[in-house]
Amino acid sequence: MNGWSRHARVLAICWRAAVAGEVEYRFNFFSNVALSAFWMVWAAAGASVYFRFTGAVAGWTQAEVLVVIGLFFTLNGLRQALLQPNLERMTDYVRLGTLDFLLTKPFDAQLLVSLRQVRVNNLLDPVLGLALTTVGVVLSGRGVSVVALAAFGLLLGCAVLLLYALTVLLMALAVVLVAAEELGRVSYAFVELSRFPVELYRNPVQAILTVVPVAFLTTYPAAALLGRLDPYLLLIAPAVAAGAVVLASLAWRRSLRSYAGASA
Amino acid sequence: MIEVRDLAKHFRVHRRQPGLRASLRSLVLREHLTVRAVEQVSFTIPAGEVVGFLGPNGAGKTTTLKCLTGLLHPTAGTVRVLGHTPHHREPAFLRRISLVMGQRNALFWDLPAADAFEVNRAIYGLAEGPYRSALDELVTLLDLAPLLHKQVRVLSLGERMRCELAGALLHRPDVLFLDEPTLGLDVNGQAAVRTFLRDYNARYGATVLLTSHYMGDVTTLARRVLVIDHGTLRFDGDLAALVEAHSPHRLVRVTLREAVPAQTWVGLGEVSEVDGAVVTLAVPRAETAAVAARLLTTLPVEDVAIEDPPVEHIIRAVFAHA
Repeated sequence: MNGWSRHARVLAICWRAAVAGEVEYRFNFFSNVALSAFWMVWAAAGASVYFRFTGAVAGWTQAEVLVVIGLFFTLNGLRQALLQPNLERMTDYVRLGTLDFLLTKPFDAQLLVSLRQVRVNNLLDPVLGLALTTVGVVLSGRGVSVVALAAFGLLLGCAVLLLYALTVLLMALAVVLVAAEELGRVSYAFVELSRFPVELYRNPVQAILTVVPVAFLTTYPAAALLGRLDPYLLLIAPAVAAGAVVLASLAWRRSLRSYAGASA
Repeated sequence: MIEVRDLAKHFRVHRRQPGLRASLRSLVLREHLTVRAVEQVSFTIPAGEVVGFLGPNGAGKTTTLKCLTGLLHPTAGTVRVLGHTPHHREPAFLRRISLVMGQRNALFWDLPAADAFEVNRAIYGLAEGPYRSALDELVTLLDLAPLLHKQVRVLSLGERMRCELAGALLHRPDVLFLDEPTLGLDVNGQAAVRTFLRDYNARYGATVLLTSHYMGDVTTLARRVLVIDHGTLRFDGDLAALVEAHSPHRLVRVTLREAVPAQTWVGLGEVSEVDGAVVTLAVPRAETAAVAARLLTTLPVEDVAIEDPPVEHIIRAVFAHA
């Protein structure tokens, strides 16, 4: 087996087990879907308040804002389903010495630690989010070209990589700090900032959210879908995402240098 | 195979004084101190040898083991295992070693043991043939058949340890690092693990470095021992020589049916403990059998057991001489 198929196989076994464990609790799954749908409708309804007396805010119509809100739920769902459950376990891995074993295996420890767990209850959230995004696009009355769809796909991929990089960075921090249960809140806060288009915020907040780079999560993918993206962002977004992933990976390796294990 | 030269590992730790005021102060001003966990440790272990690594808690055993497995970066000195520098964590190195720690889980906790082994198979990239034959052999030797389809987390400690050993050996490592592998196991569990490890070493010639608090583990498995204390190596040599030099006595534990006068023991051995009807005598090694025979014939004895003093006592004696 080569490296990629080996890594894919290990993650597939882990995910299969996680799915098998959670689907036993059907009620949790369906109640979570209902709850996610409720919060999404609530967020969409809340946004409509801004548009009671005006057709557009900072150049975004209500339908276009729905596209962004849909993407926010998509990314937050992915975060909750794939990233958060792994981040939550990180402190335990360090405290209980599980990380010792993961590090003595001929396998990419970062990959194993960051993607091993999956929370099935949130796996439908991204689908619900994309449904709201689709509704927003239809309501906006704009046609979506194949080019726009491809650009959207690219930027959404970059957004997911950015979130992944942040998770790995936080995991590296957990290795150094050991007691770091609250780190999950940082990734939640990061995604939460992307609930609305960054243009809705005043400067300097808007500028900060562009640099941080919250704008890459939902605002730019939405702009790509709606055909209003500055084309140069198609080059910048992959560079930012790749840079973030490399930086996070370096931080992870650096943290392992200072790793002292559960007991010495 | 394993070469350690002048190994040192220091940790920088934060020193916190007791009390609220000191705690608040430590939010801003932190006092650090350097703990020298391992200092100037050197030894060589040739291929196929089983070596016991002894020392009290906090002596530096686990730290050394972690340096050898690549988990810790040494502060100074060199470590070579199988021709590799462990902390570089090259896959070619990691594929040939295994680390087993008592009461810690290397197997994926939430999976049935069979699936957890499959994970290891995928991690080590084992082909079906070698994997199947290794697994079948381990299932037989460790009696795992009834456990394979239970989740690892519902197994008893002894059952889990047997599964842990199987998981650690599926890829047939050349070097095995065992840190307290029988910790917390009952007598049967300890015996099963020891017998298995001895057979495994005989069959595959694996190099084994073993730390344990149980003298039985070390006497069953290792002829050579390393004794470490306060991070420095105090003894490196034959186990029999260590035991004889530092523990000239064996313990004879007598369970009596009825009380006997205290002077009964004069000339038999030194009374080291009296616990109700159970009296423990320290008897010179050469006289143990004769004393046991005299006890059985002259006293109202229900049971007699002969054992070596706990490893801690021997180690203490080593340190007293050092």
